[in-house]
Amino acid sequence: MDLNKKVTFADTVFAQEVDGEMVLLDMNSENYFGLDEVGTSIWQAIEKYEGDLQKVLSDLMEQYDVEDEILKKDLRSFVDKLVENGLVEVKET
Amino acid sequence: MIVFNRNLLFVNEPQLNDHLEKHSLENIFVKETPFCIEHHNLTLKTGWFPMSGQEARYHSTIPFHKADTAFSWGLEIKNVLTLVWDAQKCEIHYSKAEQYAPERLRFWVLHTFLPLVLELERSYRIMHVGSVEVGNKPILFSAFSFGGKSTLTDYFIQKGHPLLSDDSLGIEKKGDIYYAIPSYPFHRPYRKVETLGYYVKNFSTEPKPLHAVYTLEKAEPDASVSIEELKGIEKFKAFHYSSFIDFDFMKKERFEFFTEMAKHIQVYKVTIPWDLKRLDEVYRKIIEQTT
Repeated sequence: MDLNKKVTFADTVFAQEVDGEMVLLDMNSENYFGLDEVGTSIWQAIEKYEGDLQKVLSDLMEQYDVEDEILKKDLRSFVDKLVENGLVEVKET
Repeated sequence: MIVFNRNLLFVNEPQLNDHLEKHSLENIFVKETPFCIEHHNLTLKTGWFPMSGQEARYHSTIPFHKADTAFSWGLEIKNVLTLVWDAQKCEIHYSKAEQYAPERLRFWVLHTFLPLVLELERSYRIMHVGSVEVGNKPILFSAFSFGGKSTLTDYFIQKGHPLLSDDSLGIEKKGDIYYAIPSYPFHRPYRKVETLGYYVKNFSTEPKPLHAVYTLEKAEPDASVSIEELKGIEKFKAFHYSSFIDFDFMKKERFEFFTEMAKHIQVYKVTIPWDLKRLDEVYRKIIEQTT
């Protein structure tokens, strides 16, 4: 995943927070997903920065005391999983 | 008869009424109306689909996803009867077919049609749960089919707890409080389609704030009974899989309603050893948790 790209939420996905966890429901597949605390932070940052992954990364660096390269790798991996499950779409910036 | 916080009266089949009513509640009359589909000019219809052991189809004037509170629509049960909701008069009209019987009318109105009316009008969200009162507090039992809801509901009734629901329950949100709306005074602790079961005198008719949801999980007969509070997505699952209605156009609003409800209601997972002789242990554990 190239962090210079932008992601958008799929139209068919609904998301709400419950007890600090993000609950996602994909209307296409009828699958639901739960995001843990870190996943929830990433999802909320994607919402806040309208999918700009560079801004999401900067936001996460402020929140978490983790080496930059580890955070980049985790963010890439997380976004790849969202794409794989049809929850977000990737666009060029 | 008091059902879903309304006075329901079978006008043409008075033997179906239990003569309980409250003057402060809205009345819904159930009236025989020959050719009720034509009478209400319901020109659209779906294909046949299975429902409670019969074949059924919907009739309407406009597509369901455009439904609002003034929406008249019908449900036809093949060869049994047709029901129509007259949204202007707030009445249920029905026409008989060859295999009509009064008990079948009562079943289809209470079990299926009225809950659909209330959900489509957004009066309540309907959940497929068992529900009883413990110390004046409604609790719900949620589980997949054959998961033990009816058996556990039956045990609580035998122990003297008022029944709110054997199959479907209304939920009404007022601010941050979620009220349990008792459905109808029948209980069916056995598997038989198209029947309401036994009349229950100890039926709670008054909406009260929902106290907790217990989601039932089967375990080996020698497992210990345990109760664990659920959080996050596990909480939401207890509501999501207790859906009564499955219209695509309502999925988003139901998702939003139940995720919001999950923030305000305690949800517990009860591990139930699959042994009827140990049902009392499960009962006592839930009582202890609730009181």
